[in-house]
Amino acid sequence: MSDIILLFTALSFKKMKNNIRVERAILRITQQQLAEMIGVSRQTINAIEANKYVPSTVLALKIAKVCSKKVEDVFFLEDTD
Amino acid sequence: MLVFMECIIYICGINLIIDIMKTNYLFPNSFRMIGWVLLIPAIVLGYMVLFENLEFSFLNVKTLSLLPDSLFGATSNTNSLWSVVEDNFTQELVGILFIVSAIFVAFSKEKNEDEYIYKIRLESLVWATYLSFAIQILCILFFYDFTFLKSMMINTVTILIVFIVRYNFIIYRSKFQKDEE
Repeated sequence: MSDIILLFTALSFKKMKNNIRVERAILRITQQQLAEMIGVSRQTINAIEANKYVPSTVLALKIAKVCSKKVEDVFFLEDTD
Repeated sequence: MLVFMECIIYICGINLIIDIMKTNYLFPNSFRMIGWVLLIPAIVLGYMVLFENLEFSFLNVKTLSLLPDSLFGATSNTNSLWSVVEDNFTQELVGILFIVSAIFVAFSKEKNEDEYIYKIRLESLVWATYLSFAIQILCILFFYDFTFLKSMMINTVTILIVFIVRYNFIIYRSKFQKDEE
């Protein structure tokens, strides 16, 4: 029981972060270009980069595909400070 | 047999997801412009109807009145289910115009519809519901008689107004956030 509580608290302090901005810099594309490549609006990319919005699995997979990396390399969990 | 059933369920599931992504419950993008064009005169006319008693004389018509229960005792038979009354149709017409155009503005697709827009739309809808009912509670508490009646008339569209303002504000704000290179 205490393990479950521990796990729960550990998970609740995690937040999803991403390094799309870095990946974009490597590919030398703007937010607008990335948005057009995966068929969303520029605001969506902006919100994801600012960690304001957690994308759906489909969108995360698409972004990873554009960067030709694994999803885990683009999106990851991080402790909130 | 079981595998076959699973396949059917799987295919149905995929179709459902595709249906949700297509959002067939929203109006096409062009309806937003039509909505705005109709909404602006509707706001002006609505203000005039509510506060300046605007009535177009050519709109005096006989209309059907269901469950008549007049405040002023004008109708002869208050026990009947319906009656025909002479009424000026301006209020009704402006009200309908306002609601229809506001719905067009509020629930039209964006040019670039995606899941983030979805989230903003849903959040704004919840916001609008909370705020409009909070206003409604305040009206119930503090307004009586005719003021209450009038506040309820206005309150029928508060939810739409709050939604339009909140949704467009968030979209506008996110549009002008700089692409930090």
